[in-house]
Amino acid sequence: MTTPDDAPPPQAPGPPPAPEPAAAPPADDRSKGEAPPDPGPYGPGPGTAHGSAGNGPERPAAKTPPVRRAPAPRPVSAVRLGLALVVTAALAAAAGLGFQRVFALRDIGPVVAVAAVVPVLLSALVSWPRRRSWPLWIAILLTVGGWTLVTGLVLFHGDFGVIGGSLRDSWKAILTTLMPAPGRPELLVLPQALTWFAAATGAETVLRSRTKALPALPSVTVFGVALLLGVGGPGSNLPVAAALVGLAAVLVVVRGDGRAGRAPVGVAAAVALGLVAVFAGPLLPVAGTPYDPRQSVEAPPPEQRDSVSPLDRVSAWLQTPDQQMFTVHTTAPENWRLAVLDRFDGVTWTSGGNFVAAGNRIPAPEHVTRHRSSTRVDQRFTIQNLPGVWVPAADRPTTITGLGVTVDPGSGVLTTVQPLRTGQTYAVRSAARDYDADELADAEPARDPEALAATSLPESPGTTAANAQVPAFHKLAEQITAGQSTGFLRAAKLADYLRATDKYDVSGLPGHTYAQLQYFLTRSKRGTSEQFATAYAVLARSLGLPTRVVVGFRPGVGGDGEFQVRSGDVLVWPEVDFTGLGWVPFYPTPEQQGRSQKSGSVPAGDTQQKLEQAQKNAAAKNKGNGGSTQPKQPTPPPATKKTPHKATPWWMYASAAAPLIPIVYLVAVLVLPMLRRRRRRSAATPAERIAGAWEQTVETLNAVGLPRATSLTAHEVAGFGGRTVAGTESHLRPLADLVNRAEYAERPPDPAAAEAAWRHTDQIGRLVARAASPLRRAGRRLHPRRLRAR
Amino acid sequence: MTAEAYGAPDAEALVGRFAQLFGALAGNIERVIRGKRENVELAMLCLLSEGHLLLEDVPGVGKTTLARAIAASVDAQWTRIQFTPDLLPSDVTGVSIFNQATSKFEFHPGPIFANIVVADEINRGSPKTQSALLEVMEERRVSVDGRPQPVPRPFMVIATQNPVDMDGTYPLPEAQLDRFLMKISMGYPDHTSEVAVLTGMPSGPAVDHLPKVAGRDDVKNMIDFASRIHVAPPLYDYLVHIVAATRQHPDIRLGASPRASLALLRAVRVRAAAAGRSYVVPEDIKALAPHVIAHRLMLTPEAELRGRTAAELVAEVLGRVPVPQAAGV
Repeated sequence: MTTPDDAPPPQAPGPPPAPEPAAAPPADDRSKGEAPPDPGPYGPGPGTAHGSAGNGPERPAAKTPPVRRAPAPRPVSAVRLGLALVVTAALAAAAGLGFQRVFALRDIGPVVAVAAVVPVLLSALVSWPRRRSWPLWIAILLTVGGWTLVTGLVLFHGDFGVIGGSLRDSWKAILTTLMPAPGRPELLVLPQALTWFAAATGAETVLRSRTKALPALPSVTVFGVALLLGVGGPGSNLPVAAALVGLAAVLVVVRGDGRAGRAPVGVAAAVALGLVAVFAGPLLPVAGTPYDPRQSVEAPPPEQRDSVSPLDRVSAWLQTPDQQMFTVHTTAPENWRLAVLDRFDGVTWTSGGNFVAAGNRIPAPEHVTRHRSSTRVDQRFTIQNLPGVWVPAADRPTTITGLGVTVDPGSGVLTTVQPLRTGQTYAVRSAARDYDADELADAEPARDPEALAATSLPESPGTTAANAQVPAFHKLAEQITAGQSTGFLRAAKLADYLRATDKYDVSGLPGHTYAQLQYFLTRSKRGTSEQFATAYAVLARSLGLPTRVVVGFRPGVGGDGEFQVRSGDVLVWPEVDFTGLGWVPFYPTPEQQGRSQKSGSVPAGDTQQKLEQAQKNAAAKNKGNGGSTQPKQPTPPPATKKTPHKATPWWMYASAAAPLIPIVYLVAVLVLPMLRRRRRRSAATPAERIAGAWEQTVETLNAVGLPRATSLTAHEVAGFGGRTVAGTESHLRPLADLVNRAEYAERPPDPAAAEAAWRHTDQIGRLVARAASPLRRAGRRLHPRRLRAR
Repeated sequence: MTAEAYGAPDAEALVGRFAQLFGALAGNIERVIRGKRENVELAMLCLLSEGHLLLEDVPGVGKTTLARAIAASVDAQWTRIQFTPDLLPSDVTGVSIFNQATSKFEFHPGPIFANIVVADEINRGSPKTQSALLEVMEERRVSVDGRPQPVPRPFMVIATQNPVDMDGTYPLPEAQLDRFLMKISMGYPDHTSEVAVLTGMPSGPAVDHLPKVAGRDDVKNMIDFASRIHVAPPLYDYLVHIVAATRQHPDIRLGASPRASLALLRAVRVRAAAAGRSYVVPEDIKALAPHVIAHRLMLTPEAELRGRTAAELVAEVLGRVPVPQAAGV
């Protein structure tokens, strides 16, 4: 297939080139001391060495000048070759195991083992019987074919169609998945392919060259990729790196020219080198934190997690309190957290979490890991009638098994892609935080960007300055918290106020808009945890306390580690973000009179009870210090809770991308027209193919100045072409007729017409190309207009 | 060429015969109208589109000869009416005269009852007489004493007017102009053609001796056949866009009417068939639009002062309206 500009230039007139001399060059030319070509590891092949070949007349030996030829390299022994291949496979396996920070070892291990061994075996088996290498393209073909076959069968269980797409998307999926990533084929395919690549290229290098360390280079490169993708993952790659160093040293020994008897010494030295690497590695000075590519990859946009916000379900659940939601076997009764809603637009609370796919392990944010003590809580949930995609678990989940989830790393909230089904079971291990009264007493609200976003309190849509509602909440909150010195005390005072002033009443007015909360706070003073929590959140936000709303369940009914959670156990509570402490829950909802006795429900989780006690102690301690009389001086702006995201400067991207731009442009400007032409020529119907031929022709004529006016008819275009490029009119006119017929005649054109149209197009392309100088042709071929179709 | 033949389903095959006959007719007429092939073809297009032709040119360039040559070539009856200020409508349409023998009024048809009517110097006729042509040109019948009298088929009015000597003339009203399918100008013959006219004068073919190429029935069949030429839906759009653009042009006070669209459609069908095609292409529309549309436009006084012409404006419109893809650019 050729584009018009691709058309071969016409044969230049003139005498034909002189024929190549059939005879071999004179013997003198052949004997100028050029070293024979590298025969490869298998030694010289038949008929290629020793100067016996050649068509020239043989000269008497006495007259031949004495030539000192370099001695032919000794062929590599089969044992050395086999050993080198084994070491190459081990190197590839080690490189693949570098991904053990990205995937759990049990997931990545078997995949890497197969990917490291099979290509080496394949290369060896193909080359060994013949004792010489196949052409490189055959080796590449075998490698790619073998990889496709093995990947399709082993990793994707016969589904070959998804391999390409999975490989293409896997790097992004890995970078947007929490580590350790789940051992899913679409994620494992990347390390598998890279390991295969390392093993295959290493093996081919061993078989085709005599270099010593070069076969290790692909594995080292792959290990580099693994290191980059594994930044921030659990565990360390130091042992793998040491193994890589040791194996590379072994490879050099095996590939060396030393005598076989010295090999054990060399191998021992290599192992020692590996051990030195293990111990010396941690001592190496490391400047700064490693670059994490995840910070440069934009997480997938947050999805609409559920059609109905769990906060909107609360009222309905409380109206039918005996609906069985799920059962849980647990080591400690806790509040089961369902959803965290941290965005408020004046009407509704929504989740702004960035949910990413996660494996079993759920990493904790810095302030959680830094916290001194926590209690391990193991839970096993069985879903009954819980709707939606939100997965209940005690805060803060660290591992989950039995359910594929996405997680918001900030809040630790779990969701599933598909809504929960009855009978689903999963196990969660959580680390329930222990709070210290001293820490709480001095806590001040966080001021990092995330926290500041959680103080936003926009007016309802349509509100004007005259009927603004937020100031009223602010005024009330100021009155309630007057005299409280620290942020924590103000937060605790708000909860105390609501608990003391208002009453729990399931029949209270549902909803959580400003008007409903105003009514709740000033008039009815009756509501459910929905009103208590959201009223608290609005009051707290009006004071500048970063607050969010959490929907969850109380521990439920039962005992001895087994609880039945029903819809009536639903509980909403607010959480306030404090510097150094993170999000601390508050429980402003008063206990319903006699509810626990009546229903047998556990009123509060262990953590809630401990926290409430710590909060009381903190408040008492602060009161003892007289803190309530003298407002504390505002603390200096606290350090941000999280390491600020260091964005890579734009100029780094720009300077890295700058050299690529011309290459990308060149590829695009050369390839896109070819693809376009192929698409046009292979269109489904003859009419479309004729239209494609016409488009192709018009593009060709655009290059010689055809205006892009849309009011020209086909024959007017033909007239232009005829006037501009000699000889084209005899092709353009019939082509214009064919186009008109295809477009406007009643009968569709036949395939022969399409063929004829493309013949004319090809001829026009050749004539246009022939009419221009080579320089002009090159200019046209590289012109930006070729990037876009007309 | 018979009616049965034209009624056959495979119009693709028959269109060749149409083109052949059209070419023969045009060639026959060109034997007396030398060097004016395009005008001859346009006149033929008018005849086969059942339209009327307005020839605007100076005397002596062959306007009447053209009409006579067409009539002679198709074996049709033709008449000539010299329009003068004192010409009465009844001089054109005919009168009813009381026959004493039968004691009845009998209709005596006027010269309008012919296949081809040459209305010479039509702008010299009084408006009343000019308007006598309105009905017959559009409806192909004349109402005399309340009774409709149909004119024969084919029927074509070839009117001429002299653009130079305008004293004592009555310019044709818009309604009258709109009834002419085309307005063309004969123009002087080029040097070679004029020499050929002179050299062939003594013994050259006179109009009266022109051979008959087609019969009246043939012409009727050709008219019917052309009306069935396929027009692709995008071309209807294209045609309407062109006509609509004349209505929106700032230099045009009165744009082309829907009658102009219909007329253009009829004409392009015939042009397609004459070219041996069973389908219309944009080239047909672009070629005929100036002849069909220009004379129907009324320019603004400012445009006239600037010396713009209707033909220029139509060309401008054609250069602006996009041709349907993918044949266009």
